[in-house]
Amino acid sequence: MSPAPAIPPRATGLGWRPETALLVHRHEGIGLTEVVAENLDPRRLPRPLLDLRDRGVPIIVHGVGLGLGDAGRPDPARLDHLAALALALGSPLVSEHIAFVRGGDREAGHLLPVERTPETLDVLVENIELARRHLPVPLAVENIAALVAWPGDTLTEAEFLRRLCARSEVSLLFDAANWWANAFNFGWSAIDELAALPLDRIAYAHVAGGRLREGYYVDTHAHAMGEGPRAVAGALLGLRPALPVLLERDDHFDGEASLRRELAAIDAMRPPVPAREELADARP
Amino acid sequence: MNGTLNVLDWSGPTFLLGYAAAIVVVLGLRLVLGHLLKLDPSYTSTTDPTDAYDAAMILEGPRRVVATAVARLVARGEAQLYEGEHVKRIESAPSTPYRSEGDDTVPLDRWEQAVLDQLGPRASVSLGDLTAGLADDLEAQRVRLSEGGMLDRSPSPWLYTGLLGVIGGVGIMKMMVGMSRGRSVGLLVIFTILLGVLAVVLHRRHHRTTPASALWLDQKRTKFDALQVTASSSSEMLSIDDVGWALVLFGSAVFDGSQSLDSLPLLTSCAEAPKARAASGVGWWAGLGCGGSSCGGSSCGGSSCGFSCGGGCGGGCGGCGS
Repeated sequence: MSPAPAIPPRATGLGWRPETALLVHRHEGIGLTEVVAENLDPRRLPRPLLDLRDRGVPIIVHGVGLGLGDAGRPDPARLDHLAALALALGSPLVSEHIAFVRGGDREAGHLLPVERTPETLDVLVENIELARRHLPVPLAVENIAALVAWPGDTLTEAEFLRRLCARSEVSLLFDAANWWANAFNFGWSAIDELAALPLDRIAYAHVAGGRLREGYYVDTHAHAMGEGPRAVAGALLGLRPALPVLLERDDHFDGEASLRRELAAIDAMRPPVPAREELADARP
Repeated sequence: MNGTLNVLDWSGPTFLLGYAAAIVVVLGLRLVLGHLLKLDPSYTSTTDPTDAYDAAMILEGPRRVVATAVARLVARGEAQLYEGEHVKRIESAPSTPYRSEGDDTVPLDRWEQAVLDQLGPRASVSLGDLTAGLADDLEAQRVRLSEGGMLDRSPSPWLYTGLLGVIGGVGIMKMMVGMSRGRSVGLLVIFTILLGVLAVVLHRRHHRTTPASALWLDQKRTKFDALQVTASSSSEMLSIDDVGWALVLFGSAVFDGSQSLDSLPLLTSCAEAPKARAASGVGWWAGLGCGGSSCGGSSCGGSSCGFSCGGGCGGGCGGCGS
């Protein structure tokens, strides 16, 4: 098998879904894409994905059900699945969420926030290290959006991520929309807190749209990017101009043109000067 | 031959021998005619098919060409389908022959315009009437593709089916005569059943394509794999050209979940569609635990919000935090 393609610097991508398969296939500006692991069978991959792989488009395997923040260990079958997909698609990365999703046999049905405490961090690091050992490619973990927070949180989100990266070699998948959502919902500055992040550990970023609902910002993946996530993404790209960025859209597809506009908007956020040192800035 | 030309008076073994010989003659005729056509130098020359309409003519003939134009008009909002076979022009459609499609404007092509002209102000027109009304244009297209080596020129499959039908009819008459005379007709019954199966198989195996057009269509299908995946999920993500190609190459059944195009089952006679669809691996999207009917589509199962599909979409995708 040929080596996994690296994510090119300044790459802009779009999440691969059935609805976006055609756009991802023919948009010349797509520098990476991402598949939802739980929706694919590595033995029966759709031909358009195999075609993208053969064209050298990096395809990141994105898991949503591993439960790295669970009290229990990650399910070996789920890890096998992620690994098999990564190999079949020649993925440069597998990404998952910093979230708990189940307790025992009971599924939460959502990505839920972990309590941001040193004790939780111990469990999270153990689970991440176990997953990293199991996977054939590097792992990146993603910050999630939340509508609730634990009363026992003792660390800020940035501090929690910084400590995580200090204890593990895992990369970060920074979701600008989730970051904005939490900042909005819990009253902190999304832009100011960026500086506290381990920016050099971010492998790539997500952007997506959402909307306000009953006073909360909800990350729907069904609307165009709003001002908040745009501001976060723009600030991040100001700090990491070559960072690969991927647009997520999961519902309310309203035509190629609108998604093309959003992709163009992401490109427009990047500072125009690709300094030589920045070209080596992409991770991994 | 027992001294008579009346085959119904032939002895059983003689009749069976003649019965089999007649079948062999028809099969031989089919083989020889097909071979002779391929020796024609013009058969191997190729024209240059350009669009979905040519593909439609090659795959299924005139009716599908018209269906393709109708599908495009439906997607544009210029026409609507109802009662299975009927097409009606939408009165409030823009008078200008251009319609916004995202940031682009795509002019009506000549087939769309021709269909619109046929629709005129009348209440509705059947697909059959539309096809008949465009017969001259469709025939010109057929001749162009045929002379260019992209459309098979061998006789209609109905010729061979008809000949085999006549032979089978004689067999049935002989069977009745035999039974009325108290003879055993078991072998003849078996022969006749086999003849029927053979006729059906030969009829269905008849291809309109030539090697050149089959190759061209294969290339198109490969190129449009992603189109099939997207068309089966969201017609909103298709351009007008995409709609035409999706219909021609994969059949209207590909338009799952669309608003206006899901009323296109009347256009589903594309024999290639099921095969193409299966080859593309429909079913993979079900994946692990997200294959339920309520979760497999665009709203939940396909999203990074949707891991909760195992529990029935978990209250939707809003705020899943992925």
